[in-house]
Amino acid sequence: MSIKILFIEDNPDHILVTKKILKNTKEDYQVDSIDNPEEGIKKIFQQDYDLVLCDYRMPRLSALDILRSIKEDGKDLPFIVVTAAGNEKVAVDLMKEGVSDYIVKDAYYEDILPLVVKKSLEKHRLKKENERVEKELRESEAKYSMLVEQARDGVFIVQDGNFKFINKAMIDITGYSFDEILGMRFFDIVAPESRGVIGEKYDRGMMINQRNATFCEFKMRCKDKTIREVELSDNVIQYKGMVAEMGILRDITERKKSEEELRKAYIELKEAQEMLIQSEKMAALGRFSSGFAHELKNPLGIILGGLEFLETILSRETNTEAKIAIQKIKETTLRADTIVQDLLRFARPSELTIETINPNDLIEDNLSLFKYRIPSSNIEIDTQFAKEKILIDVDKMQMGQVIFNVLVNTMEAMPKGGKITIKTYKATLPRPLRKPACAIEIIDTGEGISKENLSRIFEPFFTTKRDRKGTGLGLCIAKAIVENHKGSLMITSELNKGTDVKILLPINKKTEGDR
Amino acid sequence: MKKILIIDDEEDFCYFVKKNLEMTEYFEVAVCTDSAKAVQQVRQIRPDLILVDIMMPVIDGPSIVAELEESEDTKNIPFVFLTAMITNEETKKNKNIINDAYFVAKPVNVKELIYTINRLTQ
Repeated sequence: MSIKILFIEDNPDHILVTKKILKNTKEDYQVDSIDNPEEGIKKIFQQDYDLVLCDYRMPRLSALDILRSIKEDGKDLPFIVVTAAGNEKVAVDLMKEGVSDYIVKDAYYEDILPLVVKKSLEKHRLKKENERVEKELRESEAKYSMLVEQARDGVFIVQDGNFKFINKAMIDITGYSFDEILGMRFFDIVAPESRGVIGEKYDRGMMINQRNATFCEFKMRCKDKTIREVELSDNVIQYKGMVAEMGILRDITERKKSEEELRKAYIELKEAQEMLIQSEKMAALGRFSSGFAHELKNPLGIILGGLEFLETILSRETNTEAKIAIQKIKETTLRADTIVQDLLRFARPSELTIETINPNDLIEDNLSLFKYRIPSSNIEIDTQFAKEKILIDVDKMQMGQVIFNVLVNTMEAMPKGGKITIKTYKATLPRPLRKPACAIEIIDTGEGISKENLSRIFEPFFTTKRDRKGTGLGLCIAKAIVENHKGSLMITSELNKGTDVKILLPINKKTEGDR
Repeated sequence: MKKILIIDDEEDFCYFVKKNLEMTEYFEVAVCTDSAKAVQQVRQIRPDLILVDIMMPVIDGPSIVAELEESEDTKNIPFVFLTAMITNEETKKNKNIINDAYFVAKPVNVKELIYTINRLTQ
């Protein structure tokens, strides 16, 4: 495409010369000329010229007048002034007014004109290119700034620990105003418990000299002192010529909450599953034990029958050693029989004969029986019964057995004496039932149970009292009975401190709401 | 001397119950280990009291008792169930009576058995 040039000049010779010079260059210049300056201005606006050459002295209007006129109307194109006399002052004035260049009509005109035209065109092209780039940059900046301002995540720039820039979301997330944040340090929005994490991050220099964004989660303290969980992703940038950190802050409080809920639900499910497995195991053991116990009872019966016979025969003799032997065999056989009886009871939790009773009465009844069993007087019993009326639906005989069993355990745990505290109060059944319950808590100051033993305490046949004729079924049966009443039995213990047995039983429905 | 009949398929068990009761010299004890022949044996011996096991092959204890109670000549003979199906604790709690029937749990405590027999044969 040819380059269109308009030459405003009233000297026809000069027009001819100039046209000739430009025609002889390698460039494809198409030169129009006009001798009337007003017409020249019109032409500039009518046609698409790439460059204007203008004689300095035109009738009525000077070259500067023409330049101002076209500039005022918004035309921007290279404008070269051709003057007759070389004059420094004129040159400076012209350049000040925004003339691209000027040429003196002297002996070098022929050589200089093509160079000046080419240079002016190139300069103009660069200027236009620059303007375009700047415009694009401005648009791009506007676009990013809109993104940042509309983002729901907080975006900020921190330099030397101070906030230098924030978006609107930072205000929403932190609750501080724009001016407040810009007067704060980054640490001011970090909750005290998270300052360690953030501080460490800085200390390790992760914020500096990094190429990729780093991520961390921390607790943020808002203006109203509430603590929110946030996720921070940050990167090192240059801000106003200095190193700074740009961070994106996301409020993940709700996400964390639902994650936590999910985790809890999972644990509950696990627990329920384990309970189910445990009760399945118990049921299987129950079925097995029942048959097993019956099979054992017959031979045990015969052995005992034979021993009683021998005992009677020997009572007429004087052989004491034989008598002692018989006595020992008989005791051992009776112990075997106790195990079998416990097994049977465990295997066949007999049907409940439900009565509505006050748990305090049940405890009192069992305590009066229990007191006969206490070997020494150095066991103190303290009862702290609920003042309010609580009624429970239980099989008196079976629940009595549970309480008695626990009481005997406390006594055995305190060979050197101690204190038994028995409390009753209103409580709530554990998950998933969460119904109103009556708690019966029996606390001793005995030797306690080790962690290993505590985890096995409800296992059938697990006992630490083998030498004291324990069968390892007592607590197992007690738990089965309580669970048969839709209640729960829990044991917590600390070695050398004591043990706390808590029995929770559903409250009688009619009195559930009573206070 | 009171005549007692034990009906139990476990021969050795019967042997010692017999020995233990007879040693007191108050009782004369007969043994029946074949439950199918039990009723017939009751008619022959005409005991003052019957000790009968519950779980036995062919005919169980309660069926034998039911048959004896249907017949005029045997319906008044008192009986005690000897069984491993209940525990000592349960029998003690109920003074050996459950649903109008007398029970002694296995393994048998001789004193308890004699006491129960005496209660029924006064």
